Amino acid sequence: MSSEAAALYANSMAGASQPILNTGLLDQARIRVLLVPVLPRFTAPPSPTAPSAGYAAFQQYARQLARHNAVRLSDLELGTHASATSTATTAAGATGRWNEGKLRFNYVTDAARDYDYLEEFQPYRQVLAVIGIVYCPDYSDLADANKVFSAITDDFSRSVARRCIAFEPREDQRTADVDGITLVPRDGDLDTYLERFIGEFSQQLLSAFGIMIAAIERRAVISTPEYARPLTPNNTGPAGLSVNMSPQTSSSSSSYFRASSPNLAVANSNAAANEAKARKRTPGRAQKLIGDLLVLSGKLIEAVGAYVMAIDHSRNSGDYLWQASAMEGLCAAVGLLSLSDAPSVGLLPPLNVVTSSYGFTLDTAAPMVMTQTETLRKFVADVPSRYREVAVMYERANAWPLVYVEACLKMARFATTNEVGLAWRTEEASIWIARAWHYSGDALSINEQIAFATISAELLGEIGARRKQAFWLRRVVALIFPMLHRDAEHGLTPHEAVRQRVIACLGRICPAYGIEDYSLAPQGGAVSLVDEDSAALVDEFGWPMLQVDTLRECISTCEAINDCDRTVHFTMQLLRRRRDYLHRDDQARVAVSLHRMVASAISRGERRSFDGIFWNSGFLRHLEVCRQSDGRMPHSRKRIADGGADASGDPFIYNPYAKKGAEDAGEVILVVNEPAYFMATLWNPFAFDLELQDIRLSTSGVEFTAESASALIPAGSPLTVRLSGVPAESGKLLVHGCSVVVFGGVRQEFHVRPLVNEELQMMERRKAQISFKHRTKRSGLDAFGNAGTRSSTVVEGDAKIDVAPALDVPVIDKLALLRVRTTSLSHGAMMLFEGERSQMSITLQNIGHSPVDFLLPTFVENPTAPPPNSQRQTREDTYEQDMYAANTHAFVWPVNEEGGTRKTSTGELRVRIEPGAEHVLTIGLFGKRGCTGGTVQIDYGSEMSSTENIIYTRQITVPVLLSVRRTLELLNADVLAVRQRDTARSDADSMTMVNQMLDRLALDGGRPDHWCLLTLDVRNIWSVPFQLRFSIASAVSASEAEDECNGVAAEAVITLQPGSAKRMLLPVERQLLPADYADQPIPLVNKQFVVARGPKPSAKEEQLARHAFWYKEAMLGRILTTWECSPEKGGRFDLRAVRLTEPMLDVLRRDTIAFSTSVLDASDNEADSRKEADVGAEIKTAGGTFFCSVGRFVTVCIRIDNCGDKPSKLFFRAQPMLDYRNGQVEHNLSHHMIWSGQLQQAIPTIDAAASFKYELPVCFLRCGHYTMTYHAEDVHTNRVYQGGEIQFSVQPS
Amino acid sequence: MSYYFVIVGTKDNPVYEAELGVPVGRSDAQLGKRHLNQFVAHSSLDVIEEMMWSTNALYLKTVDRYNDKTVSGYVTPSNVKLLLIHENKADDGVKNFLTECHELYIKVLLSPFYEPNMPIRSVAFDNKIRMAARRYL
Repeated sequence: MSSEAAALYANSMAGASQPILNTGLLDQARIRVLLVPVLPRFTAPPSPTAPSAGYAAFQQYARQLARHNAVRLSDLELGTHASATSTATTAAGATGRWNEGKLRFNYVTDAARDYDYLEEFQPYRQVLAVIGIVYCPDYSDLADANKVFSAITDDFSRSVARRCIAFEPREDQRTADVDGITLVPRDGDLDTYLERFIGEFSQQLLSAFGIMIAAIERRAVISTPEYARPLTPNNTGPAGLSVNMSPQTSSSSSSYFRASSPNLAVANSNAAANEAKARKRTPGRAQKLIGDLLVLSGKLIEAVGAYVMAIDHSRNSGDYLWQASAMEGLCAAVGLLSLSDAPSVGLLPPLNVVTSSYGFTLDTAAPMVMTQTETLRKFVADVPSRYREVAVMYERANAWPLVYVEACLKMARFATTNEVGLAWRTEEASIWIARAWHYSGDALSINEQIAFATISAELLGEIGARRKQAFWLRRVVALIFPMLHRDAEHGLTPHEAVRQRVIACLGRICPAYGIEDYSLAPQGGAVSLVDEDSAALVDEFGWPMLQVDTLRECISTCEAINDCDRTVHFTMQLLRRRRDYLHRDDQARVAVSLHRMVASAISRGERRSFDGIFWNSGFLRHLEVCRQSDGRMPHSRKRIADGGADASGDPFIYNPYAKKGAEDAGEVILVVNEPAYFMATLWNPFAFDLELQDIRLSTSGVEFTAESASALIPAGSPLTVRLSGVPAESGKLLVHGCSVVVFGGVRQEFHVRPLVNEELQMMERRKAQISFKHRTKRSGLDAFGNAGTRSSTVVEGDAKIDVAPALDVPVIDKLALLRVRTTSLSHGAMMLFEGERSQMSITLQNIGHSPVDFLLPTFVENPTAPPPNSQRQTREDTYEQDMYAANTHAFVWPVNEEGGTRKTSTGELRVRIEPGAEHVLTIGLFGKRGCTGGTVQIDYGSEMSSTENIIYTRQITVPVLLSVRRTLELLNADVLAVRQRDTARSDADSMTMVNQMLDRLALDGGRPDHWCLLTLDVRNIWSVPFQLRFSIASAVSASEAEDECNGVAAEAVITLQPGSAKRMLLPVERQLLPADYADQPIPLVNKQFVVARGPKPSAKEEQLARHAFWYKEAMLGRILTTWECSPEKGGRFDLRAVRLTEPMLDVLRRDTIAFSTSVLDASDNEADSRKEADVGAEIKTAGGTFFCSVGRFVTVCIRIDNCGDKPSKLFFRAQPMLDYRNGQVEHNLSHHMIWSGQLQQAIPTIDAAASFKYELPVCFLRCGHYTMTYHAEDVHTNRVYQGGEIQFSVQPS
Repeated sequence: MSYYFVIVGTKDNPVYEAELGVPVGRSDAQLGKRHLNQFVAHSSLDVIEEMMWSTNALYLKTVDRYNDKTVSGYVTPSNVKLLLIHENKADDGVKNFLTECHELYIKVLLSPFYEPNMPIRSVAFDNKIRMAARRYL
């Protein structure tokens, strides 16, 4: 039932042959003629989908016939009807004017009987004539057709003319004479035949009208038909031929007026009063009806006269309803006159009264100057005011709402007509429509309301009032929705035509409110992308609250008509654009409803998925590729030629401007058939938790199997999801974004585009363009149209790859994969003593599918904490500290010959590890002070498998934990001078080396004063005994790191018990380093100059520090100290903690000028008693004193050696003294001794490595104890070289 | 007597809305007529857009009617529409009210923090509009 109502609505929308409302100003001048197909009885009812041949022929000929919709009266033969015309026309004496009018036909193919009660009031509503169309091939005998037609026309007993026309007759049928059927032969011009037929038909009609007019004139009482609600859809059969009316066999026109009918029954109680009133009003009503018939007959002048009389009568009798109707008829008649071809002015003398009374300014005073255009213009100018009166009268009469609404709609349509030329058409039309709705809207039936709203919308749409059109279309949808909803609840599918009309309505409503209408999704794997700028512009448009209401209505309606796509589209739009205007619960409700609807559609199999746009931008905030685990991550390396030369030809060691190229720039490289992971940060804009049913990557470039994931994003929060997939081939993998399915199956693709400079500039330009557009004078709906009806662009299939990808990830072929099967360390940790040397081994296993052909171990030590910097660090300390940190490595590779033979020039180890095979790698460890461990990193790969310049490697890392314990402590160190008299032997352990050295000196004839003693106090602070081995090399070793000394001069081993300390004496040869060598600044390891925190040392201090450093370097270069605590554990003992102080340095450093003395007996040229003395090392022994006799000449010889590398110019002084041995000395020795020569003299320049001999003959005159002191002074530097003293003991001869 | 006043921006967007003279609990929304005034005001924009080109005056008098509601319109030179929906006939009071509202809107426009078509959420503006309504309507 509701479907039928909707179908009725649809018919009215589709412009069916009989609309419910007549809104044309001149509709009442058209005779309603029903065309019926005369089909054989056994023929099935016509079906629109598969019409029979007869029905198709009917449609064809009906269209042909409909072209003949007007017939000039002048073309008709004048018949006897003139005698039947009214008195008014007779009075006009204008029989000749028949020729001026037209008969107009309104052909319909179905005739609803909803408004029977109005047919008597407005004859143009009635089916006045019936034409049957016979398709001759359907009939063998045309008499049968005639019978069928008669049966059909029985239903239209009140029609006054019934004719049957037969097409395509056979030869035998042409000859048959069947009464009432006009045959149209196949040959000949069809239009000519039809014209002739219509002419005859018109004459029949005119005759019938004449009879009807006469009958009206005879009627004593004409009652107003009682207002009856039109038949509801419940009891209305399908409009058409099968309407079962009361059978009236008589075809006489006298049956036009029914004496009584169920609809027109007058209530008995008021019968008498009403009849009296009706009798009084009958003359006016009769004139009105006559006027109507005259208008239909085309006799307009007579009709005007009849209407004038009707208006007069009705006004006098207060018959507002009939008066209003008569005025409408008058408007139509005058309008037709204005539009008639011939100048109408001359035909209007009887209208003087009319024009003066009712305002029509058809001025007859100057008939010759009035043109048709002017007449029409004046008619147009007057019609609105006339219709206002009509409306007022209808309101006053409180009669049928339909009539009132029609009158208003006529004016609305009139206002919208272009030719009328109203300035404010929209306002005028809108006000008429609003007026009709205000006074009668509620009184109309649902169908009428739908028709009214539809027509109103149509009228407003025609004049471009799109908002108003949408306003009324919303009402249409609201009216039709209950029916659709009821149908949907009963599981009925609405009629397709209704569905399409509803969708068309929504298509008109949405743009008016700034809502994007649904457009078909592109097919063939295309992707819809959101244009963010346009989307933002669209979002700004419109009235949010109205949009929310309208979207809700659209969603409900689309659900009712079961249009899933549109439901999804509108729901998405509601959530996307106007969620801020929805309560949190509403959002959730809408989402749940959408979820249910989509899931249901998918489960029914209607669709597999839905494309929607549920978020404009910012849903996918960030997308990045995850690094693989360290062991699996490939690294790119440039292949280095065997010669080691860089193929790039860049002369610089480091060129900051050089392109990194294929060097490992930290980019992630994916490997074929190995999973790749991406992190996507998503944002849930909604006020409810968003469940992502399926989220996967959208890629191109290489074949990629994206894994599906699901997640739940909390309301208004971001979420980072890990997405994965497996690339199946090598190349460039372009990742565009991700595809997300939510709400039970709504899919949207989100693309993230990297913002490179050009794109940023483009965005700026675009923003500028948009703001420029914004500044232009586009406003209202034009602004929305300008923004675009869909805020997304569609990128078709292959064009997808043109979109700049968010990520561009290289994919390489299969790579080998190693794992550490085992190491020699337990728990990856090892304890070492400081300076210990040890080894560890790592067993590698190839668990990949490719062989490995090179390994490259590298080591990273954990950073060690710097020593506490409590006291001021000297430069030497800094050097030692930095040197130890930089040059001492905890990891050593290669340990032995392993790397020696199989190492390439680039440091790689050539191996061949087949899949599944193992390889053991040995690495040396050193107990570095403060080291806590480190990482062994082994790069490996297959260089042979790749022919490109770039090879890809993987890394495997083995963390090693080291704890280094201090076991031996150097407590103290000193350097002692050795004098000749001190040389003694001892059996102590610490003296072993001294003994060895003395033996050696005795053997080589060396001078003991060229040696000194280094004393070392060493303590064992560990819990096991240690053996310390000291070795002294005869020459400085080339490398400090070497354990072996070149030519061991002396060697000793001492055992240190736990907790004990021992002193070791090491004979060290005194040295004199070249001045320019010893004066070198202390080097910096880090090559970075650091300003000392303390005060700047003086030049002397600086020189002392430098000398101490370089002499220490020279001394330690000859000493090698190793320890051993067990056969497996051994290492080096570091002596670099020794610091030389100034006294130690003085001992260690030999002077550049050396003295040696001797005393010769002058009497005998050869010294009988010769004593050599070393001044610096004199030991008070008896042997250190020269014994002389009184009066005997001796010669004191002092040899001065220049040990330096430069010549020296010296001034020599000697001073003899008498020592009383009581603390007093006598310098005036003129009575005690005599000498020959100068005590002070400048001696000649002594060349480097040369010597000078000073001789002084002396003779002691008295006994005593004499001492001679001497020194030399450099005349250039004033440096004084202390010589020493020579003791003489003079005895009596 | 109840009034509905709205300022509509150039993109059919409401810039400011107020229901004037409505007792508490008697507004259209509370009476179940969901956004009827807004729909009527929106539909009358068509008429305003047509009428504004045929007159030099900013005040367009009555532009539309719906049932017993009358819509009076006023267009600013920047194409912003001021609409007043009322039940009585349009008189000088309506004109004065709309003119006053236009002046108030201009003052809002002078704010450096306000851009055209932005919703006006100023309480001071709201108070002034209501004061003008009490004075003229």
